[in-house]
This record gives sequence, C-alpha cells and structure tokens, in this order.
Amino acid sequence: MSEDGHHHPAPASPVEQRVAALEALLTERGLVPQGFIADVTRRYESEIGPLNGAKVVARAWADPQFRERLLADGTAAIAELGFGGAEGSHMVVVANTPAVHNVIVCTLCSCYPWPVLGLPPSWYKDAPYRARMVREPRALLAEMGCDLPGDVEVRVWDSSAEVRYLVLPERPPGTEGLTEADLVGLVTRDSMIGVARL
Amino acid sequence: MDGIHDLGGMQGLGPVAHSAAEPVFHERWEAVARVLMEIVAGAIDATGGEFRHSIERMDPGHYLTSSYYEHWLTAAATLAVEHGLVTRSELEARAGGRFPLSGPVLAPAVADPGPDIGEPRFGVGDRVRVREWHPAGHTRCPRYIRGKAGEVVRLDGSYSVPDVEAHGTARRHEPTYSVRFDAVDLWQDGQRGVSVHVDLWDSYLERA
Amino acid sequence: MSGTLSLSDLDPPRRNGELAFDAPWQSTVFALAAAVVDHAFGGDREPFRQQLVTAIAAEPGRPYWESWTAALDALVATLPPPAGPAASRP
Repeated sequence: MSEDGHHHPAPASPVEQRVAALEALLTERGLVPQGFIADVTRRYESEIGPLNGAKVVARAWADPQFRERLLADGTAAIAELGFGGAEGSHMVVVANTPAVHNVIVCTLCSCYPWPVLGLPPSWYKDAPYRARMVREPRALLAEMGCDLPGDVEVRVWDSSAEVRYLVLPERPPGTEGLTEADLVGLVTRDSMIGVARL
Repeated sequence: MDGIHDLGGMQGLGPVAHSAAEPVFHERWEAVARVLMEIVAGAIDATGGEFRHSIERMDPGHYLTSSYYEHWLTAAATLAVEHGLVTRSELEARAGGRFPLSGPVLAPAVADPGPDIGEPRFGVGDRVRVREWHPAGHTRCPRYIRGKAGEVVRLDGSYSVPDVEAHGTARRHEPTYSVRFDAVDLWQDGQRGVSVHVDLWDSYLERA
Repeated sequence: MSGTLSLSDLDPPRRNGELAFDAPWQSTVFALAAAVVDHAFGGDREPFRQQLVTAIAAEPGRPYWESWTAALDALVATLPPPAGPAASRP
C-alpha cells in the first residue's frame, strides 16, 4: 500500500501494454462485442479439456467393440460420446501396445485435438518439444519420464494437415475390477499425447 | 516459407519445460491476445493458412524469445494493420513504445491455382518422395522431410491446399495422406525402430 | 528558417519498420508523451503534434528525439498544476 492509502497494481509489462493497445483500438472500431472476451475465455477454460479424452479411453478399455470402432473411425466413435468440432473434425486414434508406442507433435505450430484434450499445454507449443520429438523421440521421452524398452517401436505423428491425433494408452495392469467411471480417473493428458505411459 | 516456425529437427533449443498440469492461460493478457486474434481473423475472413502464416512471418529472434500468446498478439496486430483495421503508429502510440510486427508476405497472391486433384495419385503401401522445393509462402510441408522417401500408410480425404488458400481467394482441393518415414532415413544417425509420420497434401509428393 | 516541414519530418525515425531508439531515454520520452496524450488530453494527439512542429521548426537540425523532448516539456507546461494535498508537499 502506498502512503496515500491506495493499492497500486504492478505496472503493465510491455506485452500487456501492447495487448491493451490492440484491444482498445479494436474496441473503438466496434469489433469487440461486450463480454465477448470473457465468454470465449471461460469456454476455453471450462468447457473443453482432457477429461473428454479420458472418457473415450476408458470406454475403449471397458468395451472392446467400441475400441474397434475407435481405431477404425476415430471421428465417429468419439462423436458417440458427444465430442467433436473444431480441431477435431477428423480424428485418428493410435493405440499403444506392448510393442508399439505412439506420440503426437505439431512441428510447424500447435495443432492438437481440442474436443478431446482441450487447449495444448505450453511445453507442447514451445520450440524444444516441436524440434526434438521428431528427431530424438526415445531420448526426449526418457527425459520426460517415459522410459521405453529398446525393442519397443516408436511412432511419431506430426499433425501437419487436417487430421488430429489421440493416443490410446495401454490399460494399466491390475485394473480389471474397475468400473468405466473409475477408469476415467486413471487416464492422464500426458498419456493421451504419448509422453507418458500409465 | 523456410521460416523459423519450421522447427522439426532443429538442435540446440534446450530441454522441454514439462509440467503435468497448468492453467489454460497463465495471465489474463494471454486470453485477451487469443480472443483478439480470433476477432481479427473473423473480421478479415482469414483462412487458417493466412492466420498461421502471419505467425510464421515473425522476426525469428522475436519468435524464439517470446511466448506462444505473444506470437498470437503479434500476428493479430500484423493482420489488423495489413487489412487496414488499425495503423502501426496508432498501436505504438497507444502502447507507448515499439510494437513489433511480423515481416511481409514474400509470396505473390495465387491467381490461378490449377484444378482440384480429384483422385488420389497414391495408395496405401506406395513409396513416395517429398518434393525438394522451397515455397516462399505458406506451406505445410516441413523442411525436414523435403526430398525424403517414405511409405503411404493412410488416405485421409480431400482438403483445401494451405499453400493456395493462405494467399488470396483462390482454392484448390487435394487428397491428403499420412506418410511414414524411417528415422534412420531422415537423420542418418543410426536410430532403429523409430518412424515419423507426416500428413501431406498430394501435390507435395512424387512417386519414389 | 525556411520552408515548411514535410510530414516525414514529424515522423519518428524507423529501422526496418520499427521505431528507432538509440538510447533508453528516447523510448522513455516516447512512452511519456503517449501517456500524457492518453491521460491529460483524452487521446487527442493534435496538441502534442503542434508542439512537435514548433520544436522542430525552432531548431532545425536538432536530433529528432531532443525536439520530441522539448515538445513534451512545452506540452506539460500548458497543463494546469495538480490540485489537492500532493500539490502542497514541498
């Protein structure tokens, strides 16, 4: 608190000033409807996220026919659970097995399956992951905590066109007695990108 | 464009700063920047390609030293200036300082994109080679596979070619494919049992 | 002193399209002028522009950002002094 009794917020950083400048000018041009920014922000923060993908995975573990449909036509099977839309209108699901490990990247930008995983995390969008996952996947996966035996085949999927990918992780051992709802809680976002095994 | 965004295979960028969970937006300005880009893209009826290309054209040093949503801010402001919604000096005056923008588009507008490619030229199992080419404008063909041979593993249907739609109102539609490359062919570093799959448009490919 | 100023004389120097600041004080006076225009003149840039015209014409050949600073000084001098307790502090 300053001596005149008022609380002064920290000064805006240069990027904040630039954002404020663009927002002010576009608002003056009538291009920013009242409440629009808040509404869209709230949608990204609460309406999409990896819980959707976890439900898809849990269903595939619990229901072998759903798993078959999911691997044959990801878009249609994911739509059975009510998920779909922008950045997920053409889904391909790739299954991990004891012999094969899949991992997703977008080297050119940040393409990511929003309807099932929400918005991508910073590390997925930043330069080191995008540069290294196509070049040294085994080493990078190990660095990120995913140690793979040397005889496991690694398949990297660079999302450079319209397809968006989801990794179907292997079901962890010892989970046979769990309900589908319980299984949902076991599935992590990292496992559906392919940088972790469960 | 052989730009800084085309990062596949680049070395020296350091460790991945991984966290298992993080907020969707770390600070409020990030959310505002994202929505402002969506507003600008909507106001100018930008295609996905024009939007992506506005980020790709950023100054390389700025791109590598700024965060993801600062890329979106820079690109949104660039498109807004290029399409006459705001002026650069208004942005600078309002921000009270420099307002870096992306560099200019280096490719001309596409007047005649040629006909749609109706039938896929390749099928699953075909060996294909990626064209060795260096487009000056937007493309979704990364540098690290150009000139390399791979195998078609999947056909994904026809879509608008980004190289065309990013540069004007013309459109061309082509089949797309998932093409598998063996890592040892890409990097000549002895990697075994690793393959990289890239999703590519028909015109990016030749028979191998 | 001869001739009228062209519009480009009033524009800040640029390199590769970017505002050119050769020292931190130059970006500071740019930001200060922007803040004064925003807060004390409701965003109307015309009063500052007039002061800049006067400052450049008064000393042609003076480096741009020094004229800008003189213009900012002159602009602030036209503002009424602040009222209230702060004004009575030494």
